[in-house]
Amino acid sequence: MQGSRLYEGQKLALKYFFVAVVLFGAQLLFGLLAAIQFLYPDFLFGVLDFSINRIVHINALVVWLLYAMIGAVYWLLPDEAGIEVVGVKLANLAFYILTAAVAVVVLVYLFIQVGPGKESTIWFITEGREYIEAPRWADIGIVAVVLVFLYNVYATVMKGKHTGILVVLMADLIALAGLYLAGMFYTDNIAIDQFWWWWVVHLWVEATWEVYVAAVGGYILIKTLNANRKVVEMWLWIEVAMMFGSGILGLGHHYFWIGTPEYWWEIGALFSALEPVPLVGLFVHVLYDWGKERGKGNTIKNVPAFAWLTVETFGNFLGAGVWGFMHTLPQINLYTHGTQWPAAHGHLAFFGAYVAIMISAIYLGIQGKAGLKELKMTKAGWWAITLITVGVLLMTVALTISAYVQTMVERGMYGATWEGFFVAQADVWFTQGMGWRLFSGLMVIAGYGFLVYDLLTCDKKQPAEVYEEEAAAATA
Amino acid sequence: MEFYMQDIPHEDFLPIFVISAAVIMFGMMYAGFFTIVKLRLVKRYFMVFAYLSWLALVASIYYLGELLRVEPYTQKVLIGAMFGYLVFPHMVYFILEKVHTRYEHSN
Amino acid sequence: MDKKPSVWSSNRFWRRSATWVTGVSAVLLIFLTMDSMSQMTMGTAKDIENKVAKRIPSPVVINYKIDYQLNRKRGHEVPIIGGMDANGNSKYEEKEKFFGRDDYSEKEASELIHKGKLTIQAKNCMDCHTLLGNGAYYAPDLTKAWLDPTWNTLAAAYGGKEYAIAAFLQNPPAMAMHERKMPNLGITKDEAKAVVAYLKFMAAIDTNGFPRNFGKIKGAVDARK
Repeated sequence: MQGSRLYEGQKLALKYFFVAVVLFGAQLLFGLLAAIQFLYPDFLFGVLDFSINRIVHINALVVWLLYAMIGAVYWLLPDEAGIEVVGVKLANLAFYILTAAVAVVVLVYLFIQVGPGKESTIWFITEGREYIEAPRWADIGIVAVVLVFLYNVYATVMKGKHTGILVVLMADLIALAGLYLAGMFYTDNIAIDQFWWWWVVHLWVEATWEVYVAAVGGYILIKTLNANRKVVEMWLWIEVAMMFGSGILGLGHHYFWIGTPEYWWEIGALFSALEPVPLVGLFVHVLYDWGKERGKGNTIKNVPAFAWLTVETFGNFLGAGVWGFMHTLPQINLYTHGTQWPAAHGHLAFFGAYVAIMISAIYLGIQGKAGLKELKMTKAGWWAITLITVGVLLMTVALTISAYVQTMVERGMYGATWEGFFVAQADVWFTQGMGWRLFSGLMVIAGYGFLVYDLLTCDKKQPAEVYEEEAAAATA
Repeated sequence: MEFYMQDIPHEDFLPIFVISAAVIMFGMMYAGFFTIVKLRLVKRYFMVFAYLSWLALVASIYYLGELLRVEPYTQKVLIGAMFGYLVFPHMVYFILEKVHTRYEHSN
Repeated sequence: MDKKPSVWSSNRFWRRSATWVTGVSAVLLIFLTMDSMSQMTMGTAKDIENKVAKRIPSPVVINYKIDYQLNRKRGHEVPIIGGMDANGNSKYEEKEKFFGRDDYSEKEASELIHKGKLTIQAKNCMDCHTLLGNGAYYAPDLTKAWLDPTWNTLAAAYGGKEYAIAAFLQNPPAMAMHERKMPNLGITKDEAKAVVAYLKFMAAIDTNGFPRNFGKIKGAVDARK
């Protein structure tokens, strides 16, 4: 009965959020298996090898973030445009097709694992390219589903209101979808292969996804803090300028060592220095808003969503800013490229920049589904955010220690040979780092348990005044 | 001859990582102090800490450049970063003020 | 509003700025990409005959001896194909037998490389190893695997390091060198040969000096100062 106030598009968003949370669990589970194998290499050897666990770990990450991102758009689209999503039946169909395809791809990863060295393997089993391993048939399926999604967004906005947030999203989503095509071809030339592979990976993660997050973050600020829409939308354009200005050519920092011309060193170094720009801008902005809002007595309409958005701000700054700058200049990247450094950076940056804000968006969905004007933080909600955030921070520090040992021993002392690799991996500081990583991974998984529990029950466990207010509003 | 990449002795790795983290941290401290002083959340003389943070940032960037044995091009980039950091929070704050006075006049 | 609003608070100004910044960056990236592509296309057998250096050489490099040496002019290590001249450049002369032959035609070599690359993708190599430094960090980097000193120690027992690597790939646990073993991925004899060819080809790619000081003994970094 409560759900009837939702748009059909928002109901679809809840389905996307549901699958996203399930896949988040899969990501953590397979990450755990891989983390165990770093310490006990015989664990599941020959059954579920490290490569398979890692494929599921990183693919589940990418896919659940995409699910949550699509979900968040379906959630805010009818609300912003003020009308039902156009073509919502087709959108529902696309959801089921996509989910079935994801299930098949995962089952093939787990049970078929590898294929013979032929084109048919690339088409039906795995493409074997990190992050975008999904076989070609699935690529084409994903493109088809994304086209339906784009149709929904464009048709709805054309018919309804054109808010600034929606305009940014429309432009960004078309770039995001178009970039996926850059990863859909095969070449014998591994340098060109990786060149275009980075177009997908970098221009997603360090450009189009960031802008997406800025747009959705703006929407969340309006919803949780009643932020002034004009200010949010103008600031969004400034962020787009900063993010695309530093992010697009920031691609250069991946082109130092893969057979590319030397001028990418200069470009990469310059834009590495520029990449903190949007982060500093965001930091000043957040402080400014906090300072101005203080003492105004505005209540936060959705505390968990806002808390996760705060984690986003600081996680993004630490993960992308500090841990990024630590190894991005070519002079030092020569020694850190291909070690645990990107792993340390990647864990915190993905969490800070994307995971936190998507959880925030999911909490908005939960609030809307329950039809509550306010959503407070429950005990389980606090446990979830604390365990997950502290867990990921600890994991990053642990991986950083391992990364430092690996860089120093393997690259600095042993000239990057296999012997150097294994000497570094056996170093007691390295293995201790891996041990702490495993421990912190368990913390994150415990936090995930609380998170799922909280998402399912938080609307029923609110303090009494929330329901009283609700009842008062209903009778008034 | 000035090469782009110089050998870095392995004992320099640790200071490089610590210093590059410090660059971003001092940058944030500068931006943070600057903003809260401007907002009058703390006393005006706290602005001293903002500029001290910026000086620490400049020292860190200089030391980082030494440790990385950078050639002239990267030197210029790093010097640009020092002054970019100095100016940028001023710019962002200026724009925010303009926006808020325009759209939140009634508040 | 009593006075004209500042341009800094104009939505239109920032929307245009964002569009321009994005557009200019994208156009620059496209030009740079076109230039990079032209420098990164695979060389041909003719290039090798004419001693033209290519960042990504022709697959026929598998007929030649590959090395990785410091180039004084560029200030870092570069792949050396078929011997090094006095200036530290490739001579494209010294051949080296690869599975008993050093006369693979361009077509034969390309077919080997093709099969090798497909196998590398089909077996998910990148989800344990790094290639050109990209991939997972569970197993060693394969960029210069062909030149790794490990294989020199095994070469004699197998009649050449290509045979040793191929034997390893077909049943890695049998030749496990560390506690962290490579699993048996069902790599056939033909696939193994193709993968070894790919590794040799990859060692000849100019990676701007990555990895640094490759294969130097302990302490080499400081020793060269």
